[in-house]
Amino acid sequence: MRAFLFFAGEGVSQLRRSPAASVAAVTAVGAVLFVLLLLMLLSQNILALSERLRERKGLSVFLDPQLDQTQVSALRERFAGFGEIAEVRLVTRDEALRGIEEELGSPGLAEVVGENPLPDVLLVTPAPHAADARELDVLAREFEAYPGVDDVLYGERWVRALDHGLGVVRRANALTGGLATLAIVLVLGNTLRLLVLMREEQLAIMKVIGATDAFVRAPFVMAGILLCLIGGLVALGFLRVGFEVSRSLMPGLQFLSLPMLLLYLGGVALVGLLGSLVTVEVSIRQLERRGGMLQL
Amino acid sequence: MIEFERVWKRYSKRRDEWALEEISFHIGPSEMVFLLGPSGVGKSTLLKLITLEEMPTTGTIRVADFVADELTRQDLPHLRRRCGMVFQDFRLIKDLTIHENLAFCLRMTGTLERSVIARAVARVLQSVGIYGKRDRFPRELSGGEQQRAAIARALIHEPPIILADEPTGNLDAETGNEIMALLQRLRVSGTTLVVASHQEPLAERFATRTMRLREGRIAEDRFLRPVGTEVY
Repeated sequence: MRAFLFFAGEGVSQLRRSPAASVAAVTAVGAVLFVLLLLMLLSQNILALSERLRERKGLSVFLDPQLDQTQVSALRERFAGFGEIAEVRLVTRDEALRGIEEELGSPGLAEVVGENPLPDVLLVTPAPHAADARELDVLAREFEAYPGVDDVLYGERWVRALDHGLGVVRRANALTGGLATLAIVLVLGNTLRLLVLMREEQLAIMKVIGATDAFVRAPFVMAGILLCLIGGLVALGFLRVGFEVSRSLMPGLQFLSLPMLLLYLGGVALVGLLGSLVTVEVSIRQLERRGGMLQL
Repeated sequence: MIEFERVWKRYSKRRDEWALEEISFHIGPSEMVFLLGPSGVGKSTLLKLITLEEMPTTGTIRVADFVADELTRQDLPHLRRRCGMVFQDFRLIKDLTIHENLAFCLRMTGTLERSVIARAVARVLQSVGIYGKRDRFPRELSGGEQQRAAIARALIHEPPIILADEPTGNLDAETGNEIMALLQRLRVSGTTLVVASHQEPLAERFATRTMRLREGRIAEDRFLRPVGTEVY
């Protein structure tokens, strides 16, 4: 523990000796990680929404916007006559928009979007004996066959639609994660190489007086991990500020859970560790090969 | 203590450009050996071969309990801790105080206890006479004081061997004599010293043995006085 604290202190010293390079590196790492965090937040919220929808037992029957009130009422009465149906409730397009406004906590949404794009919807509650997924699927297909019905969604279908979206976000997340790792390694590579070059004379002295490879490298590796963690925390701070601002517009938004935060910070530290190990090793070997002061 | 057996060293790939040729000698405990000769004859190369900063092209080198051919990269720091190094340009870490320069060496070997470090640093700085300057940075000291600090750093691990590359090269004659007297005290107390120098009067006054290098070879190996002798 004492050794860890010593090397952490040495790592901080390395960064303090090159403040401009350190700030530049933290900024670059922070910017890359902010994008990653944003996607993590998005996927977590889509996942949460998906879970909530999975629990809904009713069907949403989206009607053709061209239908008039008489035709809508006729469809509603016809569906209500089904033996498997307990209740059919009409949600008009205006009510639907108000509902979304309330859910998002954004009363001016109608003005923002201009013309209301939502259709009238019949919310169908199945009878208890017809509420399982297979019965709902049969009913959904039956409703879809009626003229004037555009689409029928129920829990599983919502989930499938959201799963598709979630899959896209997750792929984007993985891609961003990979690119972020690459970008961090490149930023670390440049920064640590600079730190190593600035310390070339000191490193040469250390080697001559008997410093082990680990002792020579550890402060730089610590500096790399610290750069990543500070960049990661800065990005997290910005995300939290952005989240607080957005939450007033969308109260349903959830911030990253504790396990996600721990996973994120652990991942950042791990990338910092591995990236630093590689780049410090490469930088020092390059100096040695160049035949400079560090030559063995 | 230090043994070279038919050691050849070449830096370039050209077969006929040897920095050192056919070097063989044995240096025992408490010897103070001066490597003499003008610049470029191989004095510094020979010192670098002792600490294995450079590896021999052919031949065998034994230093303390280490044999060059059998060493791994991980062994090198342990060998170097047995050989304290003193340089013409001192090579102190500029942004550390004298105390920190020495403490750094101790931390490097895992000594992290502040009180232990403080005691060890105080003992060594007192032995070279600059304890009062312990909180100064190298740039705040005179050349002689910086060289004393460098010697103190070389002594911090209590090595059996001290290697000095032109230790008085940047100092005036009087300070140079003081530094040599300090090194001599170490020899008398049992440390082996190898000093690369082109200052023959110093060698005549302090060395127990001189090796004169000429064109990469030992042209002359002369024993001047018994190892137990102290010169004033």
